[in-house]
Amino acid sequence: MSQVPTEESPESAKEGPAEPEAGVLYVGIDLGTSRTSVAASNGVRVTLASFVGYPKDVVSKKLLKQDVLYGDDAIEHRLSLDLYRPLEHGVLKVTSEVAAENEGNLRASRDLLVEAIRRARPRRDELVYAVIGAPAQASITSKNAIIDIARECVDSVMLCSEPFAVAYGQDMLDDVLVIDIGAGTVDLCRMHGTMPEDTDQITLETAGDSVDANLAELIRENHPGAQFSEKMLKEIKERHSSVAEVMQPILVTLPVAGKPTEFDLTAEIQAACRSIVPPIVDGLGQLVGSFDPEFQERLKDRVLLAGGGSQIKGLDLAIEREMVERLGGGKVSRIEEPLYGGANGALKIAHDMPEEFWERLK
Amino acid sequence: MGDHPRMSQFPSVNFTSTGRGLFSTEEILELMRGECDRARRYAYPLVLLRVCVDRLEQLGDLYGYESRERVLEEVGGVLCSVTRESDMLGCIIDSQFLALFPHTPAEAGRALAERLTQAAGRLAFHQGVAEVKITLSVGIALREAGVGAQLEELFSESAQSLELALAAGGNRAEVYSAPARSLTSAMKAVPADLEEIGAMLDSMLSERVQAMFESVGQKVPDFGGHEQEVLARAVKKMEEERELLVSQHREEMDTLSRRMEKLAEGLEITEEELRQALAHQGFDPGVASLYRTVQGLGAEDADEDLKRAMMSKIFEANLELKEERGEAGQPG
Repeated sequence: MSQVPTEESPESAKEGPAEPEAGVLYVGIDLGTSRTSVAASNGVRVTLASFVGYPKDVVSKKLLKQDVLYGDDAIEHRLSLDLYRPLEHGVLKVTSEVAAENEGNLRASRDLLVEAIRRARPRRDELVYAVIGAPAQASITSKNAIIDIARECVDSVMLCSEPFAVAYGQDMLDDVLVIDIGAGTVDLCRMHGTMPEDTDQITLETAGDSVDANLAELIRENHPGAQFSEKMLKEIKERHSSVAEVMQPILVTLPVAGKPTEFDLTAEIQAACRSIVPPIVDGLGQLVGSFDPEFQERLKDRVLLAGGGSQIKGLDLAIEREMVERLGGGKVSRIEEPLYGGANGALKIAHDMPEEFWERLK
Repeated sequence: MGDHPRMSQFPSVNFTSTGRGLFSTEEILELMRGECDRARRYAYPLVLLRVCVDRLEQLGDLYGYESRERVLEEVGGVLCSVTRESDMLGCIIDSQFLALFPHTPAEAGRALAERLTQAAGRLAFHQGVAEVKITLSVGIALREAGVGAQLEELFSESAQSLELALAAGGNRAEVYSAPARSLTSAMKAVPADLEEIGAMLDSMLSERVQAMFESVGQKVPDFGGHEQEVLARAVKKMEEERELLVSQHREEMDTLSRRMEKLAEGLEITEEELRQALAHQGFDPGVASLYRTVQGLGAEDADEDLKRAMMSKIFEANLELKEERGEAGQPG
């Protein structure tokens, strides 16, 4: 049964259901390593950074006046918090050898999911049916972990492949290649008019986090004195990320031994962002190459780019160029709402799922 | 006038320089009614004069209210000078005088009116260096001896004859004469040959039809004396066309009415939805509906079968997961 705090029921809810789905709130969730996005059938859409923080001690608790902080709030006050980023590579971090760490991540995951559902504003009398996007090749253990915590805050839950959800949300179910670039993983999925199988999906770990790691390494190499944190690096990347051939100089101020110093990071950012292109095209090549030869050209011309990582400027063109060089051609299109592509698709799946299926999974 | 048997009952208004009073409207009407009754009873003639000063309003506008009053006073004096003490003089709505002359035949009445206008013509008012001439218009209503006199008839006839005098330019007297009798009454009065009348009507009809054709610039066809039949057919055809038009308009109106009803229904539904939306204070299921449509969650779906199969696959995968978890959760 749902433990999520709910809204008061409006008057009409007391008059009885007018439609089959009345009394049910469908929720689509993209539980991402960096951001968690939620789209609900009542029109609510919300996204929050996948961070959960707990006050370190009584003093910080008194200062913050909250037991748990989420998203950007948690990042903002991270010095006073035990900060958790409970997902890694798109799945829950429950494989640590340290039991306490596993326990902390599980608690943070549960709290994050509860908060995400709460922000979808379910009414007190509504059943909550959720579809959660999971990496295409997530392990059974990872999937079970997500289901375990989700069942504590929703009435029925299903998992589905994230890139499939993106394609389903776009109504592109036939001869489409989906690239879903997240922070933890890049998921590739081949849609060909049926439910994609394992052989139709590839999960890469050269995603947003790997761009951050590459960028940090390049800055350390080229600008040894520059000081920066992960958060600073992420902000620089999100603001300036680009793989365009021609771009304005990216001048960033970083401290050097306490003194603010301006650095030109154009080459570093360009190189770090470009690092994800070759593995993606490798994966596309695999999926195209193992497809019916008669339809390979059509598949290459229908590549869909989604996820937060798709916001890197010029990425679609860079992938196209790489495809031309290595696969002989290709056409890449971005989806309109990169942050909500997965959540919207998951919501649509939830809505289209027959009621009896939800009942049987309760 | 103070010698009149009934005059003492009414307070007279000292209006003229001669010291004779004029009756008010109510008084003169009352006296006239009594005199009419007596004239009928004793069969003597009556003359009623309705006297009006020409262009009195303009005089007042030009030379002021006091000048107007002076003119009326002088005219009242003239009236008194040309009448007997047994005659009845009164005024109605200021600028008109009524004078009833009992035992006065028609010729004498006309002569009286003539004298009155001539006497008024001798009046002269000096306003600064300007000399203002006064003229009168007189409407005359007569009843010969033995012809029953009704006050209302006399009153109305005098008004009509005065209008005639004014319309003719004023400074004159006009006698009321009954209008010519209508054609219907003439036909009733004169026995007519029906065939002759029928021929006359046919001729009128023929002329009318001819005029109609000429008015639209067309040559008049030869109807061979069957104008009535032609007209009847034309009228019938016009009526049929009119019926057709009426029918078409009625159909259009019916269609419009149905559309209005449908729109009204839609409006009611929308208003109800808006009312509910407002009642929810921002938590708006209407937005959710719109959102579902925008997001492609509407009922219509081209790939329904494919999607149903996909939903089954997702469900089966999740059911399998659930069963595995259930087995894993079993003790032993």
